[in-house]
Amino acid sequence: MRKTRLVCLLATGALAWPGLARASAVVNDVTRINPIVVDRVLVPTTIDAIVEAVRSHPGPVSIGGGRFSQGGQTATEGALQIDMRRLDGVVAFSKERKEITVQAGITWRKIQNTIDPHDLSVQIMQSYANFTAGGSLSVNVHGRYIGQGPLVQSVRSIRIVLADGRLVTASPAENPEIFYGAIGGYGALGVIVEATLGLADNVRVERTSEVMPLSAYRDYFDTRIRGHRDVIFHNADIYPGAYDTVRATSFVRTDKPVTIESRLMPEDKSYWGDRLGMRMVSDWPGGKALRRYVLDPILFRGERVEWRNYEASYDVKELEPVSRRTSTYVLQEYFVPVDRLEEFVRAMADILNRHHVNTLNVSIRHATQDPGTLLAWARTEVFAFVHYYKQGTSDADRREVGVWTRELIDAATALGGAYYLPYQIHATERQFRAAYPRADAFFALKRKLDPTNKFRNKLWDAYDKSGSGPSPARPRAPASNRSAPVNAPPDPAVRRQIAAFLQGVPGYKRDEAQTYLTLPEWLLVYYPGEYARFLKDRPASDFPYFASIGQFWSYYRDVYRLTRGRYPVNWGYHVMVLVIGSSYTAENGIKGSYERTIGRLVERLSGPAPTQEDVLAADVAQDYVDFIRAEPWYEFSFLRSLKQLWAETDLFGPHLLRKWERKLALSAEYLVKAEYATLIKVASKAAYGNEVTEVLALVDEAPAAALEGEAGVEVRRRFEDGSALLSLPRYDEFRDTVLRLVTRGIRFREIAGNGEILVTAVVPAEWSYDLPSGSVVIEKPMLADRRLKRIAVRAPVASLHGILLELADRKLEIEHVYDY
Amino acid sequence: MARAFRNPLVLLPVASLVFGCLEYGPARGPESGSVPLLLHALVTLSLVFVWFLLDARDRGYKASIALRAAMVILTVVALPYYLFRSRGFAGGLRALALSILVFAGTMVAYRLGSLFA
Repeated sequence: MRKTRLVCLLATGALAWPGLARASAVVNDVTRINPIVVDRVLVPTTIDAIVEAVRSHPGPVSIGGGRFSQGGQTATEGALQIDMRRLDGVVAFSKERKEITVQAGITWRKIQNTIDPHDLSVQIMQSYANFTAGGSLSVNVHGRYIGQGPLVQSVRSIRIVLADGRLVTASPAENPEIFYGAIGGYGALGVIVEATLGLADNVRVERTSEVMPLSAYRDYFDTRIRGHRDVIFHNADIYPGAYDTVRATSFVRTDKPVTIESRLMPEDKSYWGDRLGMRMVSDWPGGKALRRYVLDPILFRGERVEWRNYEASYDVKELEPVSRRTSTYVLQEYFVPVDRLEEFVRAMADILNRHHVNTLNVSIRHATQDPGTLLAWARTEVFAFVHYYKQGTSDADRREVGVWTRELIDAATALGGAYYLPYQIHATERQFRAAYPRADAFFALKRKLDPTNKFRNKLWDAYDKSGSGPSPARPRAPASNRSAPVNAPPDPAVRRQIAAFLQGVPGYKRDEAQTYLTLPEWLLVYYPGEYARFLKDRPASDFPYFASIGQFWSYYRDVYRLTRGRYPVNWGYHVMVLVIGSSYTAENGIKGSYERTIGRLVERLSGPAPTQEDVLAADVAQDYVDFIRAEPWYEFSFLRSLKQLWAETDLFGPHLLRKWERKLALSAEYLVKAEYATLIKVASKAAYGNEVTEVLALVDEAPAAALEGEAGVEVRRRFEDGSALLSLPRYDEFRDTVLRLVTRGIRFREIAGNGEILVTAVVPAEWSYDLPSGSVVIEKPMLADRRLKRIAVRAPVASLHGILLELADRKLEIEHVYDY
Repeated sequence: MARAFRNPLVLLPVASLVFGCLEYGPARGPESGSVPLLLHALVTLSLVFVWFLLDARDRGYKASIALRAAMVILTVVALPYYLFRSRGFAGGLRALALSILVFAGTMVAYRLGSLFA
């Protein structure tokens, strides 16, 4: 059986066997969010095989290394992908010249294994040693080395297979245009097959680490790091949240004996602790603070002396999450001239916080100026900002990442900086050109060396307009102009003025997390509503009491996950939800147990016709629902219901047993609720005081005609760009008012200072969300009517009108808009 | 018989009869937050609480402060607890059945009051 399976696998080309071309494979990168169906995958072991493949293959050719780029830079649809990882030999090595020539598919770790016994080290490489040398050359990596810059600075020469099959040597002196085009050229000019790299001494280094305000960092860098030849590695981690504090860590040459004996990171090292730490930092409430105040002080305590090669041989396994099915860890990177550091961090902090990005870390690195690559990211001396964050893997999540990534790119390029190209391809063509001003020269060289545009991948499909590939990717245009964010004010100065004014408006800003956290609270309105509707034509014993308990907690789990990591933990609200959820659980547990046993027995004995008490119970349930849509539940008078139960139904009549069973059961329910409501009322007043009854929203325009007849809406201020600050009623009235306003053409820019808002709708069970903006974040069946389901849509406020109008057009029930 | 009349709970049906009249007389029924509604609740709670204090004294049951407080703010839960604690399981069960009868009688009196109105 096992033999048969092996033969089958080989026949279908599913095994990565050297030299074999695998047909129609899906290639992906480390993030697992960029699957690309290629025509074939070739795994060459000789340069001749590459020459032959490039020369003879009529279609596009892509080049893959370690698969650590994160946006499809190694493939494109229908291409022949050359998987370089088996072309991984050491061609030549000279200890005296401190130089090594390697095949491009070799990993840095394998190079380290070769040179470490000779007390040599790689001169420049990235932090992780799993990458292939060719991949690193193609993206022109950098590391944490002080006094160094892009990898190109350590490259003596390369050999490259061009589109016509020629094997060419390139160096700063020989074919320099190919040398400076191919390094950092992302496989556009040819297949780099060999490289000669400079090496350095493998020295002992001692770790030092200091925490300081960001404002002090540049001075610290200038006086303690820059120009100090003994500092080998250096980086500074900015703590997410306030982004105003850094931990600066350096590894300085020393003669002290090592405290870590291993010369290289053990390849079989376990990383469960690192993964747990990542999980805690990214997902746990207070994880960021835990890292800053607990984990880091532990990690950085004590003396640490190690070999340079040890510090340069990290394994990306330490970053690997348990699963990338619903979320993934992703990198991106921005570069700005060294004197613009603080400006960029301020802008970056604003963008990341505004979009609630789950940032795990931002690492500042330093790089000297690039010597002349056409796609240089270090056009001057720069600080690099390596942003490590967690994101969801759904299309909606990716679109959302695109929005704030483009803002970050604008922030960097506005300061004369750039962004790094190996990551997700979110930048517009304009942004690409702004970050890489010599792109035209690069594309001209490509036309010269590769006139048929043979070498392609997703990156060049996106930005190489003159190529024959498909149109470049660009941010998706909304399918409907209803969702177009037309409401961004054009003038940044006016926007700043408005923002400054709004910051000073008391009660303007509400916690955005509450748009999600109030959903479980509202369920305690929806469930009684379902219960009331249910009682109108079905017996109480059939209601899904226990399923509703389960569903309540499942909603709570979902909103917890939606807010975890994106917002500071709102402990008060969580406690409140836990209290009301526990009450709901107790109530439905007791009621369900009673109704499913005694209640059902009495129902069966008395026949299907409802008694007066059953009818009254249904009415009370409906009254209760109507009441709590406008008022807190604890204000409802259960005593009144109790008295009506006894005064307005007969003492005797048909189905006497059921009649009195209902009287007593409902009495017990109303009595308990009456007393419990009184208790909660007192506690609520004491804990929360009086509730805020308005929510403030910034709208594009608020013409008087659109506000006519809106008694609950008040214009608080009009701004010079035509926008206005409106006061709106809260809760159910908020939904109704917003619906009326969007129908009259009002477009929201911000609501309560927030950019996203939750909307729930009740839709047919088979309906799929296909609106151009917004994304379904929760979807669950309606328990009392399985033909329907409730969807919770995360809506950008700027597109709220489009979403609401579209749902209304389709006659779908907009249940609520959650006003924080 | 004389002891029964010393029991404050006998006043419960009387009070309910009066409040039934009051609430269904001028108005068409009880109203949320109205004075008669609140007053009726207060009177009922007071009578039950006084009965509890007298009963506990007669039985030599030392009621904790928590139980006393619970008898005021969460009577529906505290009363059955007290009945079982002070009388044992069988006695508690009987007393609970009796208290349900008292409650039903009280509510029937309320209905009668509403009919007289």
